[in-house]
Amino acid sequence: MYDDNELVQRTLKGDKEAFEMIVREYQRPLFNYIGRMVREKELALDLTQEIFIKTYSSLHTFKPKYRFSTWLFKIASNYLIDYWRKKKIEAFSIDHPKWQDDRNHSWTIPANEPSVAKKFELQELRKKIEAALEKLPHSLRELFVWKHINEFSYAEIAEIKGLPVGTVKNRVFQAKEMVRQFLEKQT
Amino acid sequence: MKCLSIDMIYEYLEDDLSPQKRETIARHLSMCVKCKNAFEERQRLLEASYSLPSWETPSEFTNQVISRIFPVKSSIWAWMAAAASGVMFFFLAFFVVFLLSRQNILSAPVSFSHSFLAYFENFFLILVKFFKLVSLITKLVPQLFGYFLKGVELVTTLLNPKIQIMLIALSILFSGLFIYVMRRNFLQE
Repeated sequence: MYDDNELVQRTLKGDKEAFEMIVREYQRPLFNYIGRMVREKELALDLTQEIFIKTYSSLHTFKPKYRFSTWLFKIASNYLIDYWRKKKIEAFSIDHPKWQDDRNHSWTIPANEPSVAKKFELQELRKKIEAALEKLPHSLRELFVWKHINEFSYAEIAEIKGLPVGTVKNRVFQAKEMVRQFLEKQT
Repeated sequence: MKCLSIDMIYEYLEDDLSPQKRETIARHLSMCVKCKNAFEERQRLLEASYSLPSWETPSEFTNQVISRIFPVKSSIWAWMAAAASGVMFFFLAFFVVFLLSRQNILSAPVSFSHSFLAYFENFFLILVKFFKLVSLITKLVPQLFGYFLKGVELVTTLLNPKIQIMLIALSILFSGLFIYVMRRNFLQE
C-alpha cells in the first residue's frame, strides 16, 4: 500500500500509474461527497472528474506536511462553491450570519422531546435522513457528509475548512439537530 | 448532576470525552429518563447516518479520468498501418466488384482513369480561375483604399479641425465601449 505523498511525488515525476492509484483510492469518497451535495448522479460524475483533473494540474502546489485527503477535499469544496456561484445558487458560507447563531443556540434538551428517530425502521430512517439532508444549507450539509459519510475527524474537517475544531464540532452538532428537527416535522 | 446538554450527548456518543466525564455521564443516563431518551434518540440518528448507502462510480470512471488527463497519442506507424489497410480494402473491393460483374478487369481502370482525368482537369481550371479572382481583388484593394483616403482628405477640408478631433475621440470611445461590452458578454457566457 503506497503512501499518498509518495504517489504524489511519483506523479510529479511523470508516473501516470501513480495518479491512477490516487484516482482509484479517492473516487468513491469524493463522488459520495459531491453526489450528496448536488443530488444528481450524472452531474456529480462530471464534477468529480473535473475535480480530479484540477487536482492533477495543482499537484505541484501540494505541500507534503498536509494530508493529501484534506487537500483534495479542499479543492473539491472550493470547486463546488465556484460551481454554485456560476450557477448563481446561494451556497452559504460557513460564516454566513443567516443561520449562524452560536451565541443564541440552545443545546438544552427540551422537556417532553418527542422520539422521532426511534419510531422508524433503520432503512426508512436512512431514507428520511437523506431527504432531510437535501433541506440543510449547503455548508451544514457539507460538514454532515464529511463527518458521517466520509467519516473525517473533526480535526480533518477543520483542516479542510481552515476553521477551529470547536467551530466545526458545533456546526456538525447543529446539522444533526436540524436533521432531527426535519424528521420531527415529518411525523 | 444536572441534565445533559445536547452537545454533551453527541460528544459522549462520539467518544470525545475524558474517561471520568464519560463515567459521570453514563451514571446520569442510568438515572435520568429524559436524558436517556434524548441519548437513545441521537444514538439511533447517528447509527442511521453512519450507515447511509454509498454512491458508487461506474467501473470505467478511473479510465475516463486518466484518458482525459493523459490522452492517448497515436503513433505515426499506427496511422500508416490504418492508411495501408484502407488502401488494401479499396483494392479488394474493386476486384470483388469486377469479379462479380464479370467485366474485363483491365478495361475498368482505363475508363476510371479517363473520368478521373476529366475531374482533375476541371479542378485545375477552377483553381486557375480562383487565383485570377484573388489577383483581381488584390489589384482592386489599393485602388479602393486610394478612394477612401481621398474621401477622408475631402472631409478634413470641409470640417473644422476641432470637430475632426471630436469625431476621432468619439469613435475611439465607441470602439472601446463596444470592445468592453463584447468582452463582458463573452466572459459571462
